[in-house]
Amino acid sequence: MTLAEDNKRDIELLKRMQRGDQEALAQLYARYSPIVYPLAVRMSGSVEEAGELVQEVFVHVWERAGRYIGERGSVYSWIVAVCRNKALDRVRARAQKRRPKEGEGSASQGVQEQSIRFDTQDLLVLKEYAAAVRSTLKSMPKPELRILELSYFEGSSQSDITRTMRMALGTVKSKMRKGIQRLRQAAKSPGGRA
Amino acid sequence: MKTEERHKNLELCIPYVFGRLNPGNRKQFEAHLATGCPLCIKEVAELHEAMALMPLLLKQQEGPPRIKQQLMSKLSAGKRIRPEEQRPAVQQPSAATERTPSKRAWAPYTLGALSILIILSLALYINDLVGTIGGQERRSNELQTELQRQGELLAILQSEDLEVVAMNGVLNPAAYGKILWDPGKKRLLLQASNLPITPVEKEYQLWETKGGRPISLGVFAVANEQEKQNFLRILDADVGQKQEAQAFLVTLEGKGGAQQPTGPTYLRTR
Repeated sequence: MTLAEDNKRDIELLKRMQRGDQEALAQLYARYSPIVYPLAVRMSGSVEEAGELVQEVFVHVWERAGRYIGERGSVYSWIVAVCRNKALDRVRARAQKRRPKEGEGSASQGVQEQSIRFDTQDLLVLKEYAAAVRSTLKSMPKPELRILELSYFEGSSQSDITRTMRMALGTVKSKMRKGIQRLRQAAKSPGGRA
Repeated sequence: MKTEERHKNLELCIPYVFGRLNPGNRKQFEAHLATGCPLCIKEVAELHEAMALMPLLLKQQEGPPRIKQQLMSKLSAGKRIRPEEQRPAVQQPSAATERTPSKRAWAPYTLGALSILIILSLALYINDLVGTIGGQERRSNELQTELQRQGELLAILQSEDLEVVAMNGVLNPAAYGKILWDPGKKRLLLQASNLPITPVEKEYQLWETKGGRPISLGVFAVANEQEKQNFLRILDADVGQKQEAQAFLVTLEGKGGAQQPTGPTYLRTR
């Protein structure tokens, strides 16, 4: 089973949410908050702000459940995109990017050190899927992965990346294209070679 | 749309998904997506799915239970979460406890500043009040329109001579619909489910065929996912007796409708 195959059930949850069923939101939260929360921490750089972001994301999903357009991607990809956009809005709104204090380590490391708990079979399936995808992406050439990380998590432009990676713009563009292509392959067959 | 223009839009898919389009270009591209361009919609969907793998690189971790508790309690209260509500209020030292002799010299300025603050607060309050009243008027108008629509629906459903026909999906077997009308009145109620969201520059058109001739009963658009699931609309049309009609069908035509059915048929009577 993959995330895409579970999408039908997620759409059912969205329909229930449109009827005001809060239990449906609770189920969606249980399913995706273990992914959305670390993403929010990684992008905001703050555990406190991540909590606010996660709430904003699920309130957004609750309020706009009826506006979800199935043709443009799965419910999971929609939720993740909402989180990323909201996090980038916050980051861009700040005059200066917040950076982790010296000796404190990155916020994402802090998250990794905390305990992990999965309540249901669904979450185990999700975890296995994530592990397969992670393993595929880890085999990706490091510069390509780094460029994708900078672009996705930091919201860096290609010009920003040329400075960070000390690469020519053409090289960044080409590596980014290759990286996206590998991601697309991984989305179709997680666990295969990226 | 020309092939080269479509190709140009295809190139915008990656910057769109990465959030790198400026607001103007984004709006333009979203308008293009709304036209139903299958190439760009497929490309955007695939890119979204691919990029959604990135968070899976991070180790999964549930947030603190208070996040969910706050979220659910806010939903129960029926109001939006405001981040500032979640932070403990910082205790500012009270100006009254810091009174110093030098403060007296600033008294006139303080009074002046206070007056300006009061005037500004009043102006903001009045502005807010005007906004609230405007919002309430809009809501009141929406409710009145909805009430009127419900009344019209009820009037059709309460008719003694109610005629009903069912329609099946043609392109998509999951689609279906119904037409309800009172032959004595020139109004009908159309219900449809699982019709695709109407592309820009297009409209669905309801037809009745009598004596082998198609007669338009009106045009409509399915605007969003909610309407896609269950579309209800009252149309002004003189349908007449059920036995006079040979068939009813719904086709997709250009905006404003066509003289006769030319587009694909989505629904047809059984």
